[in-house]
Amino acid sequence: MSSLVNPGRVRVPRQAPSAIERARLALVPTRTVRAPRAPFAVLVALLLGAGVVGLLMFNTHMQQASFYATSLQQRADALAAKRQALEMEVARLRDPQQLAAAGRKLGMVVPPVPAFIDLRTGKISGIPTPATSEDTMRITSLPAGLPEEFNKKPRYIKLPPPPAGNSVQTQADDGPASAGGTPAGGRNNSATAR
Amino acid sequence: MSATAHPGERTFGEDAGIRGWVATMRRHLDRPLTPYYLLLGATALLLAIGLVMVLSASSVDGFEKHGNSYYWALKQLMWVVVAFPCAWVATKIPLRTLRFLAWPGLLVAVVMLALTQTGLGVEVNGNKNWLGLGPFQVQPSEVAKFAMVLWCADVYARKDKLLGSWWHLMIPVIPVAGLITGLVLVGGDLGTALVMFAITLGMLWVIGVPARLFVGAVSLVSVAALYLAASSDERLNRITSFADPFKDFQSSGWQAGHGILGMASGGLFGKGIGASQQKWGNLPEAHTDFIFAVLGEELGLAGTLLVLVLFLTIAYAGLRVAMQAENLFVRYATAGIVIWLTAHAIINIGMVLALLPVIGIPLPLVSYGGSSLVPELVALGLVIGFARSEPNAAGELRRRRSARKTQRAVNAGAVPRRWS
Amino acid sequence: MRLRVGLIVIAMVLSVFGVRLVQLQGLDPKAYAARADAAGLVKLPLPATRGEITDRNGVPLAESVSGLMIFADPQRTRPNAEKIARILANRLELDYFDVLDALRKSNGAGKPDLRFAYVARRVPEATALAAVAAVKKAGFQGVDTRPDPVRFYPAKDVGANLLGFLGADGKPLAGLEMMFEKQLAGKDGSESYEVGGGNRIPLGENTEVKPVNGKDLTLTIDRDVQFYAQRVLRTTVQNSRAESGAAIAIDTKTGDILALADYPSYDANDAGAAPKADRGSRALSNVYEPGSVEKVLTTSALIDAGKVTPRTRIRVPANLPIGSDVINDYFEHSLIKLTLAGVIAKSSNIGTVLATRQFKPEQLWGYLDKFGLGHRAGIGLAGETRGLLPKPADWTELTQATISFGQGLSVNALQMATAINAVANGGELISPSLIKGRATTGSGVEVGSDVATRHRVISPQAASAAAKMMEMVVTQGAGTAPGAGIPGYRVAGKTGTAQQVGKTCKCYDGSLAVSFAGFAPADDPRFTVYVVIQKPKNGGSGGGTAGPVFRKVMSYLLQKYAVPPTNTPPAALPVEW
Repeated sequence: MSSLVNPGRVRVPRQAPSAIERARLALVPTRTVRAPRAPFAVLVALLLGAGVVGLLMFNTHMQQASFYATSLQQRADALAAKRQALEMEVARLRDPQQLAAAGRKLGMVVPPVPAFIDLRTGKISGIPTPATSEDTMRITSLPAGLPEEFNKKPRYIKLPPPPAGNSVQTQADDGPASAGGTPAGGRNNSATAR
Repeated sequence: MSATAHPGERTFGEDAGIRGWVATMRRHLDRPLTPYYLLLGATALLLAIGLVMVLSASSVDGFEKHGNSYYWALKQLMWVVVAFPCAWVATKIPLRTLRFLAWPGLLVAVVMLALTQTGLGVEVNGNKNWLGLGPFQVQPSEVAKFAMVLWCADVYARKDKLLGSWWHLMIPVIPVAGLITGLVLVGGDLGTALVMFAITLGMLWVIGVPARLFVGAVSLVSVAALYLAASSDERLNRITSFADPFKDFQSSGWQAGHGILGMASGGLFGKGIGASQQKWGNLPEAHTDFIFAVLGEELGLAGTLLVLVLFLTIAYAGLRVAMQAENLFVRYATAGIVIWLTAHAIINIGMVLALLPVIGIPLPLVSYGGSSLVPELVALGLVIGFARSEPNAAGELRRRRSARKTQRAVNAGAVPRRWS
Repeated sequence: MRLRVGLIVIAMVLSVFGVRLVQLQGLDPKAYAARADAAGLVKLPLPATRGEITDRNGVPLAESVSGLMIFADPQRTRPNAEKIARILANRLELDYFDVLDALRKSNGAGKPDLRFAYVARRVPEATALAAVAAVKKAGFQGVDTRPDPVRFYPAKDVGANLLGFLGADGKPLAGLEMMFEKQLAGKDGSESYEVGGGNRIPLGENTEVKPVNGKDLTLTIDRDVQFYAQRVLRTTVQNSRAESGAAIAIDTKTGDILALADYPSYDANDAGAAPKADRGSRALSNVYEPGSVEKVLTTSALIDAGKVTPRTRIRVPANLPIGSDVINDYFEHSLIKLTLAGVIAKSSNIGTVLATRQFKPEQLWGYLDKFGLGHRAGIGLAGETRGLLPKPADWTELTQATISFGQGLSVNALQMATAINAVANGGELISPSLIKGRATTGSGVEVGSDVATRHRVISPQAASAAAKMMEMVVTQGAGTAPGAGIPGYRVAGKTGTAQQVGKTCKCYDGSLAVSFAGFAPADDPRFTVYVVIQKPKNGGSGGGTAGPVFRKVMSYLLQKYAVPPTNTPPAALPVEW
């Protein structure tokens, strides 16, 4: 408290330093110490409270951002899946087998003899030879024997006898989509899904 | 006792030893206005903690279900805004008016309870104890507890001279309490019924019923509660899994188990406000019944002990008001309110700590829920009012007011601002 | 008084709570806290995207498409595990009990279930999404998907014998996929985060190690040529009821392998369905006796050594006894008078043997060695064979005689194609490349067109002379394979019909390897094509069976790469005198 005294505002006569000291001590009223405590405590409490609430609101905002990020991520995933599907479609259409089959459908064959026209001069190089039906090429494979897959041994699993009255429900749980109707337990052809 | 840890005043030359400190505490506690300040401070703090925790615990649920993180917190804030004027009025209400209002209040409560079993009733979590009123849902049992406390207090205060006889002790309080508790039980709310039973029992204790009555009553109700618990599978599961929630962690021990996990992961000082993991959907009822678990996770041991201390403070200050009260109604009503609130707190915290079975009782002032918050705040308003009007306290208040006026006059004049 | 007792009771109860709190949060929070973390922590891999394998023009031959892994959160799936498992097992064609185990996976008895367990990996996106949607629709939760790239071979069998494939666990099992695993695979990342009720907690523990994606591998293969070669080859092998076949097209000037077709082949998307023997490349692994195509190497070596010219006159008797054995030509003739060009055009064994008598064994061996016979080409695939070129010290007169026309030594198809390409390329042998640019195999060998080696085997004059002689092979009336010629173009070629050693009797059992090697345009070669058909059962010959394959592939190449005819007069060497 004593340091609060501003020397600029107090006139200090050089010859009487002890008088100043006395005056300073005498000026501090003991009873006023009490007064500033309550407001200060309230201020600190308010600041603390505001800090806590602010932090909480920040966290809450982070939560919202997280939810938003999740939904955006899902959208991005869906779009990526769509893009992928389109790319796969392009790849399927670009598959030479596909093109060859399409060409075949239109009655096209690979020319037996290459020949070129120079578009500037109109000169033909090579011997233009019309394609004949003999130039067709088989693009599909001859049917082969049964692949290994069909000769796999079935896997047998012992099931406890189902409790009475429960057996009817097993098929219905998958809804209409399981119309394939194979009982789930006995399957063993896992190759496609792994 | 945080409120007393910062004594408002200090005299020079004080003895620094423990004995001196205890003596100072005593002196401060014995001041006439101490209960008033304690009640005011503890209530305000709990309410503030409650609001913050409701926001923290409900933000995920609110955002997911209602698209707004602040959905529940704003509703709770609205309830606080509604409750404040009511509580303020309660601090000022004259005793005669209050005692008169207790009777129609009880009637309204009974009618509302009865209505929950009609078409207006709404079922929540297997208990049909809510009443749909337009956009709001209220739980009449919360109002009923309050009304019952006031009414009992009034009846026993009137019968003061007649309480020697069993007849007057029982009639009309026991049948009416029985009716209300029965109505609550019909709704399927075992927890609230237990609280009501506790309130009735507590009131009887306070007015001085012989101890042997309690032994009888407690055994009777234990049998009834056991029967009721065993009669519903869901209830039985919830009750039996409390001892070790991890035994059947996946189903019946789920809620209590996650409560414990949350509390434990909080540690000494918690994960920080808003950082709870359990509130992300694992812990059902995070912002209502299990808010204490979220509080424990985010604020740690420091936070949970603070809440315990605040409830103890309310109990201490409230019971002191009751002890000092000259008026019998004031004594009984205050005691009843304290019993009511502490019973809630004890059941709720005990449940979260897995020391009691899971029964849906919210934590007073902290949990989300307007229909419990409003009656609780009004009740505390009443107690605060009683504390203020206690003769010594009233005198002290008057003296201060005049002192402040003088001080203001002094500040305005002679003393420079810098010194104040 | 009673109030005081009440206060004491309340204080006592709250103290008990306080003690419990201190015990729970203050003294041993670790036990439960670890449990809380385990209950909320999800750890899952972030698979790296495998690099593409593309053809020389960047068209993908093997690519990774976004498949999905299906995983369960056993904490949420356990209550309904049976029903969920039924749906998933049906949809994904998985074993019901495997799925059930995944849905109930726990840390051990009595502990909380895990938060993450695989149900299936690398499931095609549509299938996976439909399966998970079916689970959600049925009202169950806790099954979700994550990106998990699937290897996809868009052109199915095109190049499959080179590319290889991945096993069910995603590890490569064959081909380039296996050899360049290091480059293609990349490095999987991982991610762990806390969840509560299915939501990711933003402020919780959160680590992510980003995956490092694999690098692409570019081949010298031209997908279209590869496809066409495979189809032509398949048709021919099937029509001639042969055992197998291979066709190789090489860019003459660079040694780039434009097509390396094998039959039988398989669909790389479903490698499991094919017999194991068909999954590799027979063009690289299968050794056989090359037969008359080898005469090109012998005669060009003789010309390079100055021993003969294409016009050298040779009297060819009806047969040629050597010791107890007799060498015959494939066609009946009395004494005929052929030039060296005639010996090649008519593919006379006797003529070749007689001309080769001017060489000492070491000389012939030296040339054949420089032509790459008996050496691995090293294009970066496992299973490449060395072939067998006997050491000259072990040669008898008969050995030298048979080796001169391509019997008694064994090669693989790529070696033969490379050797012929050296003739096409003016006598300079280029090591063939399958990888464009460069890449390092798993065993640390750097391969690719950037590191291709070249060395001279014969002089350009000798090569040119050999090419002219080979032109006579496809010349109508003069040679053995007029059907291999392409009207308008100068084509050099050589047929081969070699007897093969049977597996059981270790002797020539009458089975054949018919082949055709050639390049065009003969005076400025751009492409070398080599075709071999193993064990045709319709009595096929090099000219009749392999020749048309050569012609089709070669004319496709000329057309695709727009190589016009050179319009120079064709070679007109005398074949007889």
